[in-house]
Amino acid sequence: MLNVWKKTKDLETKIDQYLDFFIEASLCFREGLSLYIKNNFVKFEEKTQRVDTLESTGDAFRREIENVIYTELLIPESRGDVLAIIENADSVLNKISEVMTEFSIQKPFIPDFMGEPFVVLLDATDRCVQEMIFSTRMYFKNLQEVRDHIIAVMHYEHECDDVGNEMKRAIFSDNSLDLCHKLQTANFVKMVQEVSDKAEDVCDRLSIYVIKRMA
Amino acid sequence: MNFIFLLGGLVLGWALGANNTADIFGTAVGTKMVKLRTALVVASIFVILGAILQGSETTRSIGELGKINAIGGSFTVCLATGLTVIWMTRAGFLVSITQALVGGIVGWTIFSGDFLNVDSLGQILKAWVIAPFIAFILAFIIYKVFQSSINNMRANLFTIDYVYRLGFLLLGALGAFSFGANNIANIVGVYIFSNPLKNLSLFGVEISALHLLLFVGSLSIALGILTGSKKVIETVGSKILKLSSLAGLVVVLTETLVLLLFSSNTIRSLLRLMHLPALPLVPISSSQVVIGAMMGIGVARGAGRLVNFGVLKNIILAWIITPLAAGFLSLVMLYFAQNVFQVTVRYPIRYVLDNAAMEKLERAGIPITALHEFSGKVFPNGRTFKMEIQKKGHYRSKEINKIIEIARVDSIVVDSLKLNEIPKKWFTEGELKEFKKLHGRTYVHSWQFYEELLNNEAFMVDTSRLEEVQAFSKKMELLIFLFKHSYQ
Repeated sequence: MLNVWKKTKDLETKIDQYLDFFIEASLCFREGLSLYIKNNFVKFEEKTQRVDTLESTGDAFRREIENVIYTELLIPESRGDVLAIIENADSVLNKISEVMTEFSIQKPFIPDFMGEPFVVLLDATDRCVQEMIFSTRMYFKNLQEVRDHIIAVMHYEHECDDVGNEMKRAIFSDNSLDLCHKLQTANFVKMVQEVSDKAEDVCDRLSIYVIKRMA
Repeated sequence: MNFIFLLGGLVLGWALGANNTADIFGTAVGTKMVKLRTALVVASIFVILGAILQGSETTRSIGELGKINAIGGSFTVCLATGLTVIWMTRAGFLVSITQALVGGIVGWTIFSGDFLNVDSLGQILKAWVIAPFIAFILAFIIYKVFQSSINNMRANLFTIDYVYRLGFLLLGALGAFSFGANNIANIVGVYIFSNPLKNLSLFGVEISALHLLLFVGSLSIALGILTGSKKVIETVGSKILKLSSLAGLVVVLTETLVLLLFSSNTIRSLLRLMHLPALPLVPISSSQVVIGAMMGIGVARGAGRLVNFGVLKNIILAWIITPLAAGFLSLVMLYFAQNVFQVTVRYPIRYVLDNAAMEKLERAGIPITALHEFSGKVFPNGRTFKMEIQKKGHYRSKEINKIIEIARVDSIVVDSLKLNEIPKKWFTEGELKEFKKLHGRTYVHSWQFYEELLNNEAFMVDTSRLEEVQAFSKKMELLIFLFKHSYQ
């Protein structure tokens, strides 16, 4: 029985560590793109590299967690839900990495007037992801608190939508940019918005799993 | 020959192990909280421990089969019961050994032409119906209470998971332990005085023949668990209702509580004190309790309609078929054992209303005027005796049963040498000395022997204390079995 206790504790630690990757990746995302806007490309590339590493290490952790849950028969009752939560969360990490890689490849031009709203968008996105991670952690540690964090996720996702749409309007109403630049910049704003959309999707599923456990 | 007789007990042991582990670990395995392999190993170990450490106490009560008065009969009924259970288990039915055993004994009673105590049989049947209902209500309440408590607790998913696992394993181990302790009497109880095994000295440690017998008996249960229980575990664990871990735990807890309700004297006295109807202390089927509990949880979860009624129908069918099949098989096998293999499966039980019996009846408040014409007459069997009394038309069913019980001839001969077959620690020095004094004494009825010892100072029974009287009665049951002239 001590063995099971150890395995359960190991699994808990592993899931905690896995979620830590998201916190760091989200911070790198915000800081990296802020550096990009300030044209500090060397530091931006370092952050992109870090997110890439976090994404691949996260994948290895996820596989290990899935393996342990299946082979050791841990938390069998919530096993399906736990696996789904981990899989869904992974899509956020993938999206963060994907957006940063696209920035690194395409090096889109961000006009100066977009700098300030971009930082606001990044800030809201980071908070959204952080809250998603808190809610996921709370699913494991304290079910009663999940709801509070899910509400926060909804709030920040809504803020991301508002700021992003404002930015897109500003882009297309500016006459100094040609259409291809406008389209490219708007597309990158949309890509950043997608990170918070993914976080919201994770929380939508999470709220169902919470109801299931409370029932 | 005794080795062959013991084989009947071992077959029953195997059947017990194969069938009853599902009651202890079925839900734990079904909810995947405990691995099948772990469940089987833990159950086997704790069944053996229970049988060896506690079994020597319960074997003092001989078990249900002690009601049969010839060892050949016990063997045959054991074998018939075991085979019925094995056959039903193989077919994936959830059957009750208790029911099969009661069926087998009824088969023997019919075969031997003895009188069938319909009242006590009725009480057992009543308990079989009441027990699942009690389990249903209890499981419903416990589930509701547990569920709301867990939801209000700010507990970690991993901790809850671990607590469930630990709960399943501890309750399972405890269940297996008491299962081994309580059931070993049914398997080897009747073989205590015809034990083919001898004392053994192993690495300087003396192992008594009784402990060896308990070990062999428990080994047969363990073998049943390891080799035959998988199918029934699967039926209990997953086919009736998909259980959550909480539900699984509630099932095991309810089972423990209900079994206690039907076996604890303390609870019975408490219920009486509170002016509540006391439950009869009769053997009930744990399998039925499990099913009742599952249904209760199904309703508590608002998922009554998710219960697999097809499987449930099969189970109820098995409850009806099992005692009938065991009874019928017993009858057939007893017939063959007696007439083809020339085995003594019964000794005739005679009835006589001698002076002592008449006095006893009078003391019990039963009018004896109508019985005077039977005074001194020997009746060859219970059925004839009962018919004769019924013809009188004066007596109610309860009184007839009492008359029959008092008139039964047990032919007890006190043989102090036979006491060597019993572990020394079961009796005090003073009691053993008293038996030496009584050596050679004969008693027509067992109650005469009982009453004489009850009033004997050497036995120091405080008749105002229920527990003391009960412990004494258990001892007497064993002694009567030992000194009965017929059962050798």
